[in-house]
Amino acid sequence: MRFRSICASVLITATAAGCSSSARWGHYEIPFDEARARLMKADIVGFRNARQCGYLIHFALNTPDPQSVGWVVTYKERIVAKFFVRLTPTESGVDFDFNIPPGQNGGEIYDGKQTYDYPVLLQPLRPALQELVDSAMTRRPFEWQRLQEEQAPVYFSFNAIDSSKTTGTLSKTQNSCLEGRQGLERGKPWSMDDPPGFPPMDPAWPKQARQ
Amino acid sequence: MLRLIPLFVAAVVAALLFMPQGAPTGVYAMPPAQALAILDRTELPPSIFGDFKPAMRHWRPDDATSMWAQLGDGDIELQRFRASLTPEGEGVRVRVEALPPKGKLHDEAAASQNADPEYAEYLTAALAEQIDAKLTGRAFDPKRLAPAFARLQIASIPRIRRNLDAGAKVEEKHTDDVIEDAYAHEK
Repeated sequence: MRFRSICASVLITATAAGCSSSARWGHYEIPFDEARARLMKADIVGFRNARQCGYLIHFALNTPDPQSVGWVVTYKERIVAKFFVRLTPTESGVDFDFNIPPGQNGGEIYDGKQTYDYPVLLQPLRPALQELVDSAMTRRPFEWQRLQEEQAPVYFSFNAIDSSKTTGTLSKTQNSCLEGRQGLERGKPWSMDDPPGFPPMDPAWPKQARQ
Repeated sequence: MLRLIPLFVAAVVAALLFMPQGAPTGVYAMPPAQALAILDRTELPPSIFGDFKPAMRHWRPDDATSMWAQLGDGDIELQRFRASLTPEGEGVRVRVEALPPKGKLHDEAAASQNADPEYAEYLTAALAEQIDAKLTGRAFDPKRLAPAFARLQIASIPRIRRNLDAGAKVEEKHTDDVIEDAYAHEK
């Protein structure tokens, strides 16, 4: 009985592994020029609304070379992040990959392991970028609901976060992002002129309290 | 043997969900006239129809039919039920069915009953259980409504899901509007 269970588990695992490797993300059977044109029209505002923390950031389209489409993210004209989607033409369409700058803690910026005094985007970034590309290729709006929870365990969605599950496990950066986001959703965006992790100071407060 | 339990449970659930849904019927060892007289004193079961004493109207259009109308505010009809009696051997067969109400709610109720028949089926099952209890001289047993209640709950899931999705979309749109407004007033 036990042996049969083990065999079944191995078989299921092997099957799952085989399926997942064959379903590799990043290939679309769309002509290169068409794929590039669709990506340049990607729903970056939808992406921003779904993934930004509490700061009013701006996305500027950036195409440094014919095979890259990316965005530079600014806050008050200061570059706070950037990322690029690389398009590689293949016989049957286009392969997509990302060019994301390295993060301070190793890895990439906003890979889920980075710490920021003023986080501007939900971590991890990559699954959200995949959805951005998917949405662009299928010519639909960005939909955070399509992100798999296991791909983005904490920042699955601001709305979907169950605080009872995450309290005590969020890093300072994640907390800062969430709290900033809550402020933004109430129409009170955060400012990088304020101390890290603090909401905007009310000008009506006494000066001492604001320092 | 224990390994068969999940299979048994699955079979019971499947039977509950997929059993054919005709109008509830029962056969009783009494003449139709006696059954009709008992039905004249039968009320809609309070535990299902909401109130301690549900507002209702009962009448007998002919010697083979007993009718109930559930009433709402202003005595407006919410739902009708018909019990049809046919002699069977030395007894009587009673068949209960839900009908749309007469009056201004007719079209809306008929459409709703067509779209989501499980609720009317549940109410019909409740009245049929009440009738069965009265004709066999026992107390109304809500446990006997479990299959109809299970079907009603299962059928409600897509509607609940649709409502939740619609609510989430409204909330998301509101959030997007607030964010856009924050950008519009950016200093």
